Amino acid sequence: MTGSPPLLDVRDLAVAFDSDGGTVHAVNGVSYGLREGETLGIVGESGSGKSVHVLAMLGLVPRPPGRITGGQVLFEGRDLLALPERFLRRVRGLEIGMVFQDPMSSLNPAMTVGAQIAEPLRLHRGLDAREAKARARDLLDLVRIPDAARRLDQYPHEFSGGQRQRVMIAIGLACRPKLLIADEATTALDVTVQAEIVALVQELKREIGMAIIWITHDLGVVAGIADTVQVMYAGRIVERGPVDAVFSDPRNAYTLGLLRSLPDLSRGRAGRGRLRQIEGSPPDMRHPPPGDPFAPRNPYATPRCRAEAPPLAQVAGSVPGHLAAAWYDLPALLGAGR
Amino acid sequence: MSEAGLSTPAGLAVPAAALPPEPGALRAFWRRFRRRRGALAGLIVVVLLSLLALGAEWIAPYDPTATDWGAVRAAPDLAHLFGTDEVGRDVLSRIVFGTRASLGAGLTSVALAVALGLPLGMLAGYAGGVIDGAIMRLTDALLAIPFLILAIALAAFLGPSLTNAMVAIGLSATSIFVRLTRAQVQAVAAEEFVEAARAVGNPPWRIALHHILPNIVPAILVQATLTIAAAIIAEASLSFLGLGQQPPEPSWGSMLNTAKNFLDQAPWMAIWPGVSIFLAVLAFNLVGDGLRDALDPRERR
Amino acid sequence: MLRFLARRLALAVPTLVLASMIIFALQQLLPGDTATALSGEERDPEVIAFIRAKYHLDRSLPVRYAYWATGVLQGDLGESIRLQKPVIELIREKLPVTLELACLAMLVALVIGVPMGILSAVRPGTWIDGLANGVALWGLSVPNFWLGILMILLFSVQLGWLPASGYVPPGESLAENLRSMAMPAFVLGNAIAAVMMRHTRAAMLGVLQSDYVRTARAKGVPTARVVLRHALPNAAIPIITLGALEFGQLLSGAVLTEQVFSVPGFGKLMVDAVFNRDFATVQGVVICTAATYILLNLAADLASALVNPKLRRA
Repeated sequence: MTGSPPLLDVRDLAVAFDSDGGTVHAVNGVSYGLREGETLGIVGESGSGKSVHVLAMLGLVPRPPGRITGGQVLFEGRDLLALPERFLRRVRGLEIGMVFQDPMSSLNPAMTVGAQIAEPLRLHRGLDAREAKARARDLLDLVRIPDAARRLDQYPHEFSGGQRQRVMIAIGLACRPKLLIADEATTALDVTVQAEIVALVQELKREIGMAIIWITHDLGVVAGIADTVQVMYAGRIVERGPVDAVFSDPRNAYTLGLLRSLPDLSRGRAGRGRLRQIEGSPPDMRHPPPGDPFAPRNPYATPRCRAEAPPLAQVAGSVPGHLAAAWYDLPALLGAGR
Repeated sequence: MSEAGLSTPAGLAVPAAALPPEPGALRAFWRRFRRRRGALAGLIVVVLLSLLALGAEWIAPYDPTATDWGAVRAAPDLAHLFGTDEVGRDVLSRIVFGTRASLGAGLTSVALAVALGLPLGMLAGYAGGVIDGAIMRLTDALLAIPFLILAIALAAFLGPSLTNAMVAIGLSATSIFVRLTRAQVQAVAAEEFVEAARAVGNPPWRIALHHILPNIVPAILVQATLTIAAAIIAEASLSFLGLGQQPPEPSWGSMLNTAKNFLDQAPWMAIWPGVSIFLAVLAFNLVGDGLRDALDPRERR
Repeated sequence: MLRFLARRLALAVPTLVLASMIIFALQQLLPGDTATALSGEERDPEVIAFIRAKYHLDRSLPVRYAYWATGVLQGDLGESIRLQKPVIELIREKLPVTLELACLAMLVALVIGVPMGILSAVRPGTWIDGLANGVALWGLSVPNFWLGILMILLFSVQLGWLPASGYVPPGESLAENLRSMAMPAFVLGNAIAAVMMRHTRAAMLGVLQSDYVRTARAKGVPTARVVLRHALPNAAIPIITLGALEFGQLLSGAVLTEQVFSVPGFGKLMVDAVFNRDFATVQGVVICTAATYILLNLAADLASALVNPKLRRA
């Protein structure tokens, strides 16, 4: 598994936005890999760069004000950032599918659902109208929307929120992409609907076998769906590794904060009490603080944290592939604190 | 908010919300406005035209109504920079004096429209219910008659004169301000500080005057500036049709009306009045656009 | 959708009634004795007596309005004292000319304004955007009767390509008709083009920032198709509704344009009536304009309902 080249290889990606008050450094040197069929959960709060960096990979960051200031994104060996728009267009929708956050606003209100699902098939697979419509019906079946044939001719406002997100998934999967990116795909939905969508994606993954990048601010969803979890803060990866390792043995204080703000079902009723919030607010990315950007909010921060940004490095004493960016030794500090 | 330097007449308590915006806000506004070169150029033209209108007697080289039968339809030369018209009057002098009719009509008619539209709009927006319904139906009805058509009809029934043209234009533009004011009042009245003012027992008229009015002034100001541009065109149009300024008094619109008959012999008669209208209207449009962009922090639109 | 239209219609009726009252009330502005004023230049006692009877001038104002409104509803817009003809007949004669001019002008406005608005919204902040905004500012600021004069100066006086005035009915010669309408239609369309450009730009800018446009791009849809197939239909609703409001501007502008080019339409009829103190004709023209305007707005609501699937099914 380790021998084959990764499906996606992000190298030192950096994205900035020009604004009136100065340049916002949204993504600052993000590097990671994704194997075929792997599910990667990316977690962080809004402004952490988790969504922006995937939009940048696909050339979807509006420019201006957005700028890609550095890095490479190798997808099956091709650098997407160097690809001319007309080639990149064939990657989008054909090889990489995307599902966005708000299913209410992400579907075109003036086009039938069928036409929206059929569109990538016609564009990328060259299907004619009839074939594309037949495939669109299969796709609605696939995402478990009953009475597919009739519903193809309906408009988005005739669907419920959960159904619309199923339609979005059908669009994302239409051309059987090798990678599906879900950007906060369940955030706007009710809790029960969220669970249904997550279950659906897991089933579809078993059937189709695509790799998934699941972007969310909700660690709970990641635990259920991902193989690997990656935590982002202020445009950097602060911790990354197999889900079990990161959840049971976090090494970055921000990861710990996220875990503590999670209602822990395993702890039963007692654990459902007050969730602990992370104090403070994210840094102003026009003038990021020197050193570790989380240091001002971090009770465990050392003087070195404030002076010098820690590199992302293999965690000593954990499984291979568990990486963290921290100058402090979190388990030792926690042990001492108890 | 600094109150220093603001002299308030004794016995007239000015509540905080009625004070002009803080000096800082005013300076920031000016900075944003100044950045727009078009708006600044427009402002300069407006100032220059105002000076022309005020100082016409001293600036114009000739009496604008003095005929000279020895120089009828004379092409532009050193004696008459813009040429002369069909009865030998100096076109330049008539242009300079025509500024009065145009700017005067623009300002007067919009002042009339605001004076009528603002109170009606505030009443509609603030009182709601039947009063609102009645005022808005009336406004809709007035808006159903196209601006210039209504102005022409009014001017026709009132009789042709510059004053009547101004009244006609002002009345026709009133409904714009009723609508705008009402929408603004409804938006502002929903804000928390108005709730707060009500909660401490301010009477409605006081809330309307001291808490709501200052907040809707920017929007009215922008619309007024843009409407001045429209009113200048309307005055020129009415005068062009013969329903505005009456001869021999000069107006850019009526100059064009005459010029139309001498296009092949004296094209200069048609050029300069048109250029003047265009410049004046363009200037007010630029200032209005600049004001809107500078007053609206979300300048996306 | 029927309910939506019924509501719009229910709102349009009182608007039209009120507008008719305002137009009727215009008579009260006339100085001196109404009958004498309405008789125009004639001052013929017989005419004055006829007017007094025709307008029931011995009755109170509300009663007079009732008589007048009943007449209007039956197509009786009064008599043109000067031309000795029913006003409705005059309007029937002139209306087609103005409608042709207005439609051609709207065509000019759409052909110039909408593509310019789309281009400037797709490339905001570029030279295309700057050019489009400059053209719009020009269109909004140049008085159309002056533009007409300038065009006559260039195309008729200097070059001799197009007739300076006159109107050829399309039934007589379509080619000559279009030649005579070319300049008036362009002049009249010019200002509306500017407004349409601004509306289109604003609507498209909003739509292009929407999530569903991002979805389309994420599907790999080419830019041209994103703009025309995904964004434009959604921007069309405000463009249509706001465009219909510009029809009033179009009718206002037609008055001046027809005057400049001596086109024998509605506007010319109105101006001639004003100068001949033919007040019944003025009133008739204004009421027809208001009715046309209100009907057009209804039509625009209908059109936007047809574009908007949410309303179509409701």
